[in-house]
Amino acid sequence: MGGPMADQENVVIKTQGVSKYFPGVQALKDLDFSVSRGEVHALCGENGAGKSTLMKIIVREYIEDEGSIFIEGQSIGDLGIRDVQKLGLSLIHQELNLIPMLTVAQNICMGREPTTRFGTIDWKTMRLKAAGFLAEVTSDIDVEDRVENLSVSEQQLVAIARALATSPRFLILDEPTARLDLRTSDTFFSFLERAKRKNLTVIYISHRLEEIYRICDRVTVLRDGRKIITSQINELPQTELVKHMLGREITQQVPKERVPIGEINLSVRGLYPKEKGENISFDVRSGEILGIVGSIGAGKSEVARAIFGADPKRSGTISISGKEVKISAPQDSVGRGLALIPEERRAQGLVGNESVRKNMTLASLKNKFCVGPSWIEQDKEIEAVKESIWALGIATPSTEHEVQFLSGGTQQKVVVGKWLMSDSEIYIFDEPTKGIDVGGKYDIYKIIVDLARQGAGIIFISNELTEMLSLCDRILVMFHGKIIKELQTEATNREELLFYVMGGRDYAETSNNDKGNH
Amino acid sequence: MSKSNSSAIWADAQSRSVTERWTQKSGRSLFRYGIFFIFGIFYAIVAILRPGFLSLGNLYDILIETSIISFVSFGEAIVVAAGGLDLSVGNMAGAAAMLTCHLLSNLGVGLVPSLLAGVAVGCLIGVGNGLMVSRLHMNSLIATLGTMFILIGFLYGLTGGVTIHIVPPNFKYLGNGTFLSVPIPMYISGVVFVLAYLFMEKTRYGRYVRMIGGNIEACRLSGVDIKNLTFMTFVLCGFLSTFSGILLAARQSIGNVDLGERFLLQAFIAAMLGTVIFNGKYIIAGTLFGAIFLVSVINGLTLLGAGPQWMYFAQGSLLLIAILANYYSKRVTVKSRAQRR
Amino acid sequence: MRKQAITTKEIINNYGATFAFIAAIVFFSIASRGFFSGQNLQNILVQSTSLGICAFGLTFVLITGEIDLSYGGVIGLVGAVLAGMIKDGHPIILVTLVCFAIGLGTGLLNAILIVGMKLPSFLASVAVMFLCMGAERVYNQGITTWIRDPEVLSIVQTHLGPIPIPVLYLFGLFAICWFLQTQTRAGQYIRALGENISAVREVGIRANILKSLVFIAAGLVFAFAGYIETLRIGGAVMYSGKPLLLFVLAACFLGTATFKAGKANFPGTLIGAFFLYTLLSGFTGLGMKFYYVPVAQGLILIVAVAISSIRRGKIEQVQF
Repeated sequence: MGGPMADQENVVIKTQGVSKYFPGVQALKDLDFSVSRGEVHALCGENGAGKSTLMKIIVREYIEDEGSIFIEGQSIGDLGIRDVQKLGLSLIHQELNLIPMLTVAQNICMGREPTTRFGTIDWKTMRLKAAGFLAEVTSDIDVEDRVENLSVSEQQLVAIARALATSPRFLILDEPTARLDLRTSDTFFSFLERAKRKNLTVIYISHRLEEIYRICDRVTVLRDGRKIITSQINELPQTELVKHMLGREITQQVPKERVPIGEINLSVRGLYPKEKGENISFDVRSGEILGIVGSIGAGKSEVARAIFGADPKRSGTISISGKEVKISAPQDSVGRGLALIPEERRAQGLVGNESVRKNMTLASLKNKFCVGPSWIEQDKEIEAVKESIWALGIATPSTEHEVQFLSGGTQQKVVVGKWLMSDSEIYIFDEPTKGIDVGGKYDIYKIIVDLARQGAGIIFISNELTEMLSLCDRILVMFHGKIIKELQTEATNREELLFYVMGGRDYAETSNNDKGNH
Repeated sequence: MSKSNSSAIWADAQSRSVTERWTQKSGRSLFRYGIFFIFGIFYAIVAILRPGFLSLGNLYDILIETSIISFVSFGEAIVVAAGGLDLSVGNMAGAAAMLTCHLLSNLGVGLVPSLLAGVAVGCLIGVGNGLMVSRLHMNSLIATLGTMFILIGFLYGLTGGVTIHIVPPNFKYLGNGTFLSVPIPMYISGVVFVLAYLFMEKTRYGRYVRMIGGNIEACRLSGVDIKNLTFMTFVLCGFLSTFSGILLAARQSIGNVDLGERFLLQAFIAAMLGTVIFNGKYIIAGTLFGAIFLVSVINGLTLLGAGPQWMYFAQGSLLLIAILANYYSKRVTVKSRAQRR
Repeated sequence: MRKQAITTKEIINNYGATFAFIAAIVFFSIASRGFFSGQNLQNILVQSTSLGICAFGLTFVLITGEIDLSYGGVIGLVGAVLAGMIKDGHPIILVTLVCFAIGLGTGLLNAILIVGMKLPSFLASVAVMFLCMGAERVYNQGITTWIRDPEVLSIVQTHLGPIPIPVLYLFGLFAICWFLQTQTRAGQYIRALGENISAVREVGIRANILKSLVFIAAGLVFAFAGYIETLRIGGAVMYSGKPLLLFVLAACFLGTATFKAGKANFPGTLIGAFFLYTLLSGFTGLGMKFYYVPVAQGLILIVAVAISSIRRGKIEQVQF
């Protein structure tokens, strides 16, 4: 089932038959996984494959349902988070959890500050210690600088240094380069190489092919909660790795239909979003569903928010139906028929303690339901909302039901309904099916296809490959803030798509080479 | 097809048992009507101990007092609905009252211009508050605190603490006169109540104000003009506060400097109660009932012989009850959400 | 790595209020002859004492990201009990303990309501304030009680050499608070609480216990402020906390604009307290009617805070 088995004595982290069930889904099934001392072991898999869950079980943030976990031969089933830390295990989350107002040194030593005889903080020692840990990662940051003054990339490095402060022997990194720019990426890899030489064991969760192949010794692929393969990295070609991650293709029911594609609706040129992203240019046509795909940190949401005006942009021009428009705030977009269904529907899309009706008409009150300067025609409003509820299949007992009590999928439909009601022409969907069950997903797809049929231009942002391929006409792959590839859905497949999502270069050439070498 | 791990964790429980639904519904009904229940008990107890409590004369007093504080309460409720706080309402009321009295009594200006001037002053201060919060992005607590300082300074400084005795009879009529045996302030209060109610429930501005208080970011991303709407709430608050101040001065026939001081506390309590009564569905009506209840409690306690020493205690307790009720009503809803995970 | 360019704009943004304070002192010294005299400066210091002490308590709470307005009631309650018990002839030691016990009690109550029951701190602490005011009123029946015992009064109304004792209390408490805040691990965690509570929990610190301790400490400090204030005046004036209410808030918020922190901090609060009384003394010395001084104080507060909040970029709502 893969590469040569690791030497038993050298196995430092091992899981045996681990299973974990969450309501509605089997997250991990009978998982055997082992990591050898001093290696950098990559863990790959699509979203939902179980990578984060497995790691959280190892560090005891979750408890497994079945199976056992061993660290250096010792079973850790009874241990808690702090105990596992004491054994030398450290997990660097995706969320940074730093304190902006404090200095780098204070953050690195948080919880472990050295004290003097009197019990006060020994600043000098702390500075030295922090500098020491930081120096293992990078030499560019001043320990006395406040974290809030650092760039996001630098903050990520500080977070790594903080993990080092516990003197871990086993480090788990979850998408560590998601926030790093090119320069800090290099710094980070130098750190990893040094760490390797010092025999630090690393589990490296990543979506980026180049990095995995650059720094990792072995790779394990997870899929649907099971281990698929473990292999030495030099024995597994990139295209093979991608294939293993994908597995059997389940044809997902998506009501896609051929829709005539019309004129250019939205045109983006030279867009540089505020924080991340470079030189984004593309067109969307009426009736077209354009997909933007990329792994975490690729910059997809930044593009969406920059276009819509939710965040300011550094530069770029947006044109709607051929005319250049100035969009600096969401108000400008709403007035021009541009809609954003945001990534966080609860925090950004809905007012939780208000009714379905009030949420749905939020963007269209002025234009549609008001008589005179401000009087709301409540009957008209209720009628329209009822129609929308029926048309979209929104599962709510009434128009007055509070949105916070609806299921995730239903909530999302309310958000979509809001924009539908404001007669938008261009819709940007930012990960619309995240956290929604299969039935709900289908409903959303149907709505999107209907919108396309009626002539809207649609941007569909996601990192789930199957739905991208089923739904979109064209797909733009983003990586590290840039659009690296445009693919026609009819002419591509999941392997090629994932390959580019992970930062691969030339799929056709690489797969030929790989086939030749095998 | 790979399942999203996040969907596993976020997957909502599809089935909601009948008991869950019932507890949730009854929990909310409890707080929708619970306050009235407590009202009722209180009224009953006081009425039994002091039958005069429910006499027409006393109820009349209660209602008149309520109508005086109703304006400032509505104003505060509107600001609070949008997620802000206005600490300067009492001083705005005082400023308006003093200006009006000064113009009327000391300068002999006519009634209407004096009234307009008083109201204008409140609007102006409201504009100041609104600008600080919406354009300078100041926290409304700090901004209106600063306004309080400035107003207190001007109020005492300009008047030297001297009370103005009001001469013009038409002004006194405004506060004390009756039409069809209903006092004038009640008419005004009634009209303002209806207008405020319609504003908050039937106009889109009122709708926006409440949505902003619910989730300002979602409103922003839906194209709502949050800057100007926030600004507007403070202007309205200033506008309304002046009514309380002027009418109180008209009623007691003197304009004294610390006239508005008690308004802040009472407006605040009434507004807080307003977010709880009717489960927050009808803010203005809730605030009105909150004001009625507040005045009734003070009135009742006074009748029971509780001296002024109990007043703060009572008001503090009322406030505590209001927040606890709010907290528990939220917990009922949050718990039902948690059960869905 | 990212060294900020030192431009004038930066300096104004970060240290504006400090400079304004110094400028005010200079201005008043030049413009009004009696201002810079030892006696006058001493007066300012003494007057600021209760305000400053109380403000330190509030600063602690603000640092954790909450607010505590209960001092409006605690000060009066403690004062009333103090005066009342002295009049009844209780030994001063016992009385002092009782006063601090009151502070402990209110702090504990706040902790239960705010940390335990997760009630919004603004409303909960205001409710506690009213409860204290009510308790005070019940206790003293509305009568102002004066303290005649010179031995008791000497706790506050004496000098140590040339320095009035209250000033020592003020600076002493300041030193303690500042030390705790900057030199101890607990101080670090308290600061962290106000910024990112999950980061604190992640390192295994019991955030709830820490926060509760802060409220209790604040309660004790408020009691101390009431204690000092009553002894300084020589008696328990009704609701003595009320006039201080706004000024304590103002001192703390002014303090946020004094140093780069942008958040509540102890030196800033101290400067804020002094600033407020400097304005009072300076302007009245210049002949301005004493009534008008709050105008200047309010303006300074607004300008100071506005300078840093303008850059925020979005509207800040009050958390209820």
